[in-house]
Amino acid sequence: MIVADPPADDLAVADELGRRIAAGALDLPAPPDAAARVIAAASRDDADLGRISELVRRDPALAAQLLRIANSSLFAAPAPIVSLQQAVLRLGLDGLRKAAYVVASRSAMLRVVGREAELRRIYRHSLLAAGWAQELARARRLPVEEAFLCGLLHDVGRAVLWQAAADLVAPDDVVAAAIDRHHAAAGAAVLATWPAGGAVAEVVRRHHDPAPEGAPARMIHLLALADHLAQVAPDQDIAPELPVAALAALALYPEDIDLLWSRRDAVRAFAQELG
Amino acid sequence: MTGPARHDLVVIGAGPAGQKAAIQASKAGRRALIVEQTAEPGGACVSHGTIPSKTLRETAAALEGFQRRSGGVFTIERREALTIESLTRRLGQVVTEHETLIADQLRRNRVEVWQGRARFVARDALEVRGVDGAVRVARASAVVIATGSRPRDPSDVPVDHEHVLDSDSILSLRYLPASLVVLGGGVIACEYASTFAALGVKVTIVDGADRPLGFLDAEVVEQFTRAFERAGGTVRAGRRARQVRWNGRDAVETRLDDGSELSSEKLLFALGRVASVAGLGLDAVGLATGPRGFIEVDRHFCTAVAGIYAVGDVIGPPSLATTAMEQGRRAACHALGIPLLASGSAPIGVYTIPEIASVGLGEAEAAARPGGALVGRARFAELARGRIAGVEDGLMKLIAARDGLVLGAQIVGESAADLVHVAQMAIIGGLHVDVFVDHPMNFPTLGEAYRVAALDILNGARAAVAPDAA
Repeated sequence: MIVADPPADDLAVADELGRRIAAGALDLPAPPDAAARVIAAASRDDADLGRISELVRRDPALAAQLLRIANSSLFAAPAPIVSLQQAVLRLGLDGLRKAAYVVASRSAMLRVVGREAELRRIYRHSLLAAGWAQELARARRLPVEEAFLCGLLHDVGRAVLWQAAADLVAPDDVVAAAIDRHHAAAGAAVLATWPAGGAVAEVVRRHHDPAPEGAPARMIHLLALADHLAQVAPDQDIAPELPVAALAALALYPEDIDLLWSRRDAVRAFAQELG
Repeated sequence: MTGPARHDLVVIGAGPAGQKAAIQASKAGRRALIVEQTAEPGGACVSHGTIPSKTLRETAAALEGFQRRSGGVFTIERREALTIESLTRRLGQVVTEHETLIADQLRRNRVEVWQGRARFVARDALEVRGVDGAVRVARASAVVIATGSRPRDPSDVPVDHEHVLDSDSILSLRYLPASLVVLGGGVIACEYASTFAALGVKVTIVDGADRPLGFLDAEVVEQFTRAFERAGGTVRAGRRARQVRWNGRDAVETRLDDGSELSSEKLLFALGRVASVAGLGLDAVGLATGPRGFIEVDRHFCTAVAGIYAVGDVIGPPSLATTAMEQGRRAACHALGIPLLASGSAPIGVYTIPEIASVGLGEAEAAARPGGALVGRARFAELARGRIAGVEDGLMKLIAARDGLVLGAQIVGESAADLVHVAQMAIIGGLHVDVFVDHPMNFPTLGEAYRVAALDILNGARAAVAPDAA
């Protein structure tokens, strides 16, 4: 149980949230059981669609979500999919993993009472970032599924921190600034406990590092770029907004960005269908 | 746009060929510049070519070698949910270290590096645009194009880099697939096919030619094919894919020209690469690619335009890092008037499991020479070291002229890419096969194959001579 004294100033709020993360005192949202089991089952070498179908069937909310995703343009169903079995077949193992993560992230992000509008906005942004991350990964031959998950889950820490800050007495903008500062670390803490979330956790933890080094550096730059692209309105000129370090690391030149940006309607439609 | 910078040599591309060209120029005291579009030097070789694929292969070969050597005492079971990432855990570190090494080497040699995309505006001038759109101009009396190649973008195979992959995206797979169809029978196709097969993936090679790796000795390739099939792989030679489609659920379906169908979790499209020349503005200087899509050069790597050279994968096969490096070095020497020894005999290394190497003349080429050729064979399974290591596949073919002069070697088996250097030195040194008999090598080693193959040649020669003498 956390009992906080009212923080004195902006810095104190940030410090308090930082302390709670370091102390492991956050209430970390676990993915819904069914989604976690689907993620684990779809990641096995001997993954069996029949067994996964059975797992999904036991959870009506997950089943409904999978049906919706199976009917989205992401999976380009030639005819409407009405049965769960059809949906599982259509999604395949990769698709099931993605869909289960969408369900898990939705459940983790939209759970804070009183912050629904803010968190819904963040969730929509995350879906857009997932769409852009996927596009960028395809363009740069980086792992598409991992990129999708990084985009989808990069802001999950914000929801956790809004909840953690519920007992702090401070103006909203002060709390928001503190959350802005710590959301990456909080997100990594959440994901480290999720099935198959380890690699994504490291990228999420460092996604605001302007000069990342080491093995995941390219994926971190990719996520930073996807995060930016997801914030740009479709009719806006994107060039001045983009982080040059990420462009340089991924070797994305103006003509490549123009090509990517021409896909903005498809990415938005994709995010809308998932959300 | 900033004013032009003047260099003695500008190299476009920092892959193996480009690096060696620039370093050679710099070592000769000339001012060299590399224009590279990616942030790190190394080209495809480091980012998604030689280095990553060989790192994965090293893991696969170690697993295969351990099981073989243990003689069945130990078996290795794959962990569930084995990810490519876990197999290449060292990969990030290897790539980063290699990039650092290259960057240090370029810095030590005072080679200037600009990140940007280069475009010819004149025979001796390049416009270089950065990721931020800023433009600067580089000028030099000689320009070396070393931009490499990229996978061919087929119109009839839906490469989505997720289910249907090419050689640039295959290592972006997150999970090891249960099955993989490989379209193509060239070096890249066979290297990945045998690596994935050694990791327990059910691999099928589909290739239109009668056998994979058609440019290599048939006997050597037969040994490779046998080992690949023993690892669970299948070769569908003389077959072409008529249709490839991701079924939208769980499999890539491939229909072959004989009407049969293959179903696999993933498909690797490895049917050829094309020169990376888009955006270079070759037409501005009157250059074009040849009928096969590569830049054509003469023996000094000069293109049709004076002062412009091309080296490495951008000029087409053999598309090997070894060859590319030597081409880069030679092009720089020619461009800058640096004297150079006559071209040596470069070896070929194919990093399949088991690996294959070749140097000098093959059996057919040597046999076509006046006087013909002699061929000696050594099977690794008959060598002490081979038996100790449980080697089932392994063959050295030593090729010599009638008088015993070493002309070439074709090797398949463990350490083939290293072993071949002995033959390379023998060719360069003008040695005769007797040298392998008269000068012992360590026992037990696979190097003993040279002695066995040399004796095979000498015995064969004696046998051929004996009837006449009688």
